[in-house]
Amino acid sequence: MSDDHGYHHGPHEWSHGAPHNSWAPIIISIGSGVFLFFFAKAFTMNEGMNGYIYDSAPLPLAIAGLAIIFAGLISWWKQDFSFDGSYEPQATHGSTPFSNVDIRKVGMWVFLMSEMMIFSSLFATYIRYRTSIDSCYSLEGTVVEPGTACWLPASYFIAKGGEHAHSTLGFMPDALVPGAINTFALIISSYTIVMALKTAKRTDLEHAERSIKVRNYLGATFCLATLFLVMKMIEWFIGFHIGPFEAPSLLSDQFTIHNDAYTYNYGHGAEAGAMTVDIRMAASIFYLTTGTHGVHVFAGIVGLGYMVVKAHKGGYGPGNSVSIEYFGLYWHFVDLAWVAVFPAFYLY
Amino acid sequence: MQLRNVWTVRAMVIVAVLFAALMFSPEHEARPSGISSVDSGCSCHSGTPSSQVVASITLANGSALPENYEPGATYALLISFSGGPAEDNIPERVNTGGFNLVASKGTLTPIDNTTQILAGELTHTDAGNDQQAWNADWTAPTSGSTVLRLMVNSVNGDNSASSDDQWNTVSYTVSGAGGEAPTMQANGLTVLFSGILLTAILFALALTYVFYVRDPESFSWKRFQPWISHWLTSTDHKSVGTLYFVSGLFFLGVGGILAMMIRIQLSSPGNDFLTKDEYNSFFTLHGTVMIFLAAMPLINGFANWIVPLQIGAKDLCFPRLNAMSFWLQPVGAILLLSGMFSGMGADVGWTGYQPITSTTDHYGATFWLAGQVLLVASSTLTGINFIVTIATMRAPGMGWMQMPLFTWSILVSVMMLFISIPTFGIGLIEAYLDRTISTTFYNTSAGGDPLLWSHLFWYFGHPEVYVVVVPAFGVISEVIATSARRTIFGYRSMVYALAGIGFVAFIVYGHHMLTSGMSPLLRFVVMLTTMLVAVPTGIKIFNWLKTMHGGSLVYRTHTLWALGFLVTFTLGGISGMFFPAIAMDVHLHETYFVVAHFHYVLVGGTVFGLFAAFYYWYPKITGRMMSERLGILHFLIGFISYNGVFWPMHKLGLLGMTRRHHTYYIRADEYSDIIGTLPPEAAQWNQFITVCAFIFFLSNLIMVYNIIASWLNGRKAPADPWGGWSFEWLVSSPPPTPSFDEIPTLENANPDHAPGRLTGMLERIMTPDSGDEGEEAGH
Ligand code: HEM
Ligand SMILES: [Cu+2]
Repeated sequence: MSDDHGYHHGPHEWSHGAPHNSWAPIIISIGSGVFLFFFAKAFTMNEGMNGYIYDSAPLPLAIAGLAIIFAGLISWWKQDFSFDGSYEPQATHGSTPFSNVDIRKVGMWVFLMSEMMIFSSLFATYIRYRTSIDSCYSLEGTVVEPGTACWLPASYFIAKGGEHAHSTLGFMPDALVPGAINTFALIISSYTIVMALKTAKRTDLEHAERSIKVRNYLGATFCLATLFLVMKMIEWFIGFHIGPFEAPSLLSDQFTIHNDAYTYNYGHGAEAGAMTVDIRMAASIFYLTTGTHGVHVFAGIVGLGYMVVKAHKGGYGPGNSVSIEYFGLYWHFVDLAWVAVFPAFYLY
Repeated sequence: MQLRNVWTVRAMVIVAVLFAALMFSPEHEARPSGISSVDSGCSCHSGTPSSQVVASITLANGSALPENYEPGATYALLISFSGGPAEDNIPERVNTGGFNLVASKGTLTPIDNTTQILAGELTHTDAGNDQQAWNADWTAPTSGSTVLRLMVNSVNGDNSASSDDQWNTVSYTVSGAGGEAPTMQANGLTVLFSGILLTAILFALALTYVFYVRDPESFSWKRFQPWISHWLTSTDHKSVGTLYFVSGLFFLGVGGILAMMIRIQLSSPGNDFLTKDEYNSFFTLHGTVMIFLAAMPLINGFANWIVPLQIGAKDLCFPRLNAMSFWLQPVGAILLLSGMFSGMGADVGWTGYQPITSTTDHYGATFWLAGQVLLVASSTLTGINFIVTIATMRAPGMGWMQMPLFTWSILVSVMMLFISIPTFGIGLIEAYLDRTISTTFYNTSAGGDPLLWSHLFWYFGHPEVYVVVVPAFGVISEVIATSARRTIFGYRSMVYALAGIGFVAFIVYGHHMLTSGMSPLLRFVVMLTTMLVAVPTGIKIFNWLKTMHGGSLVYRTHTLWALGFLVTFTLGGISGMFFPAIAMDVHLHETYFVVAHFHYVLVGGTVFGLFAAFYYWYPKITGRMMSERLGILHFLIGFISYNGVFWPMHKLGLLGMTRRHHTYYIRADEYSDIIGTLPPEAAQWNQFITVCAFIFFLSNLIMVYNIIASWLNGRKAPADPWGGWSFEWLVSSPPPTPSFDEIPTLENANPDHAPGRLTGMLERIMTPDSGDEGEEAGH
C-alpha cells in the first residue's frame, strides 16, 4: 500500500488498482480556466453587437491555457501507458443489470448519455430558429427593409452557392463534394476502429505482427479523422480550387456570423431580384453545431494519437483490448452525430 | 425535549432575551417620502421620487460650490430646484415648493424668514413655502470633508398631499482645508472582495505561523511538500470529499457575507449603502455562489465521503475523474467571481436571463459564463462517477432495494443533474460566444429569442433545485431512522417517491415561465404536473413522521436539525404550492414571496439537511465527537433567527415588495396609495429581517468553531456512535484507505425483497456469459 502513496508520476503499477495520486486533474482544470479567461479577454463583442473588438495580447495566453490542458493530459497518460489490462474492474455480482460487466464500459455509455443531451440542445436551438425565422427564399419577390433577419441555410451556400460557381461534376454541386467525402471518411473510420479491436483480440497472430496491424488500423482511423478536420477547415476558410473543380469557401461566400448585410440574389431573368439581409443567426448555429462536432473529432484525434503510439509499442493484445472498444463506442457516437448534423445543415 | 444541563437552559434564556429585545426595540423611523418634519411651515407632502425634479446648491453669486473650503469661512448658499409640478407656477396655487438640507459638518444659518433650523436641519418656513429658491449661510468646519445633502419637494400646490407631488435629492461633497487631493472613489465591490481575499491570505499566513510556532524544527519544505502534494493530487474519495467541505464552507461564508450586504442595503427605505449596479452584482453572486459553490459542493462532499462507504466500495469507480470534478470547482469559482475585482461583477441574476446576459456592459458576465461552463463540466464528471459507482460497485447482497436511502437520494439527484446540465452548458456556451466573438444566439436584432434561453435554462434549472434538496431528503431519512432507533417506515415508497420526484422534475419547468406569455394550454399542463410534485414529497414527509411515531426518538443535534427541517421544508413546500396556480403566480411573480419560498426550501431544506449531515457524520469523518452543547446552541439560535429572516418576507411579498430591486420606498401614510411604494410597516419588517439575518449568519460561526475545535480536541469517536446500521458504521472512524480492506457482504437486509421479475429478466439479458469478456480481461 505505502509505495502507492509515493508521489512519482511516471508509469503506474496497475496491479494495485488505479493511481491514488495524480497531478493531471488540477493541471487540466487550471488550463481550462486560463483558456476561457484569456479567450474572453482577447475577443469582446463590440457595442453594435455585429462584430468583436480583438486584442492580440491575451491570445498567446489563451493558447498557453490549451498547452496547459495538454500537459495535464500527458501527465494523465504517463500513468496510463503502463496499463496492460491487468486491472479491469467489473461490476460486482448482483449489481443488476450490470453484473460482471466492465465498469469502464458502463462509464462510457453513461458519458454518451450526456453527449446525447449536448447535441440535443444544439438541435433544439437549431429547430427553434429554423422554424421561426423566415427563410430568405420565402421573402423572394417581396420588398424587405435592408438588414431584415432571415434564414439562409448553410446548404444554400453548399449546394446552391456551388451552382453559381462553375460546376464541373454535373450531377451535384462541387461544394457538396467535401461534405460527402467527409461523411464517408467518418463512416469508414468507424469500420477501421472495429477492425483494430478485432485484430487486437486475435490470438492466432504473433504479438509483434498483431501489434503492427493494430497500429495500422488505428493509424488509418487517425488519418481519416484528420482528413475530416482538414477538409472542414478548407471548406470554411480556403475553398477548393483544383483545376476546373471549383468550390468556394464559406468565408468567401460571405457566410459569416457577422454578416448583417448579405446581398441575396435570386431568380433569373425578369424575376431576378436582390435584397440585403441579415443572415447571422443561420451562420451562428451552423458554426456552433458543426464546430462542436469538430471539437469531438479533434478530441478523438488526440486520443487516437495516444493509442497509435501505445499500439506501436505493443500495448494492445487479447488481454488488453478493451480501451479500443471503449474508444470505439465514443467514435461511433461521433459518427452518428455527424449523420444527424450532415443532412440538417448540408442538405436541407 | 429533555433539558439535560444548565447550559441548554442558559442558551435558551439568552435567545429569548435577544428576541424580546428585538420585539420591543424602538420602532423604525423612516424618512418615507422626501420631507416630513413636524413644523407647520414644512411641507408634509408624500409624492414620488422623480428625476424630473433637479435640485441644486450653488453659491449665492451663482458660481458652483468650491471643491475645497476655507476652514471656518462662511459661504452664502443658494438652494434651488427646477422641474416637477411646481414648474407650472400658477399664481393662485399655494405651497408649491419645499426643501430640507443637512450638512454633515459645519453650521447652517438662516438669513431671512423663508428658512429655519429644525432638529439641526435647515428647512423652509411657512413664508418660504411658495418658492423654488432660498438663501442661507454655511459656516465651514475646521477640517474634514463635508457632505451637503439636499432634498426638495416639487408640489402641485393643491394644498394637500397627492400623488402628483414629486421629490428628489442631491448630495455635494466639499473637501477639507489644504485641498485634500480628491481621492479616487474605491469601488465597494472591489473593496469587499479584496477584503475577502486578504482575509483568506491572512488566515493562511496565521495558520502557517501556528504550525511554525508549534514545531519550528519540522517546519520545512521537506515535510510540507508531501502534505501539500497529497491534497493537490489525491484521488481518494475521502480526501476529495474533505476538499469539497473546505471549499463549500468557504463559499457558504462568502455567499453569507454577500447576503449581509444585501440586507444592510434593504434595512431602510431609499438606502444608498450599495449602488444599483453593486446591488445587482451582489444578488447575482449571492445566488450563484450559494447554489453552485456552497450547496452543491457540500452535497458532493457528503456524497464522496459516504456513498462508497454505504455501498461497501473501496472508492469511486473513476478516482482521477473525481479529483478533476473537484478541481474544476475552485477554478470555476475564481472565474465566476473575477469580475468583482474590477467592480464589474456579473449582474444578471443566478438565472442569467437573456438578453441582458448577452448584452450587459458588466464584463464580469462573460467570466460568470466561463466559470459556469467549468462547473457544468465538473457536474458532468461527477454524474458519470456516481451513477456508475452506485450501479456497479454495490457490495454483494446489496440489491437496488437494499441500498441505504442516502445513496438512493444521491443517485436520483445525480441522475437529474447529469441529464439536465448539458442543456445549461450549451446555453452558456452560446451566451459566452455571443459576448466574445459576437455570435447572435440571443441578439434580438438578428432574430434571437430570449425565451430560448429560458427554456434551456429552466430545463436544467428546475431539476437543479431538486438536485440540491433531494440529498437532504436522504440525510433526513438516515438521521430520523437512526434517531428513532428503527428502520425507516415505508422504505419502498420512499424509493419510489424519490424516483418519482426525479421523473416529474423534468416535466414541470414551464412553471418558471408562467408570465412569459406561453400558451394557456401549456400553462395549464405545467400547473397540473407541478402540483403532482406534492404527492411524492408528501409521501416522504408522512413516512418520516410515521418513522418517528413508531420509534423512540433520541434527541441529538442532528435529530434537532432534522426536526427543524421537517417544519421549515414543509412550510416551504406549502408556499411552493401557491406558484403553480397560474393566477396566483401572476400575482406573486418576482416578489419577496418568491424569495421567502425558495429560502424556505433552500435554507430550511438543503442547508438544514446539510447541517444535520455535518453533526451526524462528523464523528465518522474525523474520528472525533462534536460538542453537543455548542450544537444545540447553534440549532436554537439558528433555527429561530432563520425563521425571523424569512417568514416576514412572505408578508413583504404580499405587500408588493419586488425581488431583485436595490431599494424600495414607503408611503407617508396609509391613505396615499402610490404605485410602487410600500406601507410604512414594510420598513419595520425589513429592519427586523436584517437584524435576524445577522444573528443567523453569526450563529453559523458557532458550527464552524465547533467543527474546528472538536477536530482538535474532541472526544475520540467509536465506529458507530449513534447506533446506525448501514455499512459506513462498520469501518473505523475515521475509515482506512482504501475504505474497506475486505468488501463486506450484506445479509438479511429486507429479506422479503427477492429479485423481482424485471430484475431477473435484466440479469439474463445483461450478464455476460462466463468465459466471455469477463474472463479475457482478467488475464
Ligand atoms: C444568511 C442567509 C441568507 C440571507 C439573509 C439571504 C438573503 C437573500 C435575499 C434578501 C435575496 C433577494 C435579493 C433580491 O432579490 O433583491 C436572496 C436571493 C437569493 N438567495 Fe439568499 N439569503 C441567504 C441564504 C441563501 C442560501 C443558503 C441560498 C442557497 C443555498 C440562497 C439562495 C439564493 C438565491 C438562489 C437567490 C436568488 C438570486 C437571484 O435573484 O438571482 N440564499 N437571498
Ligand atoms: Cu421549478
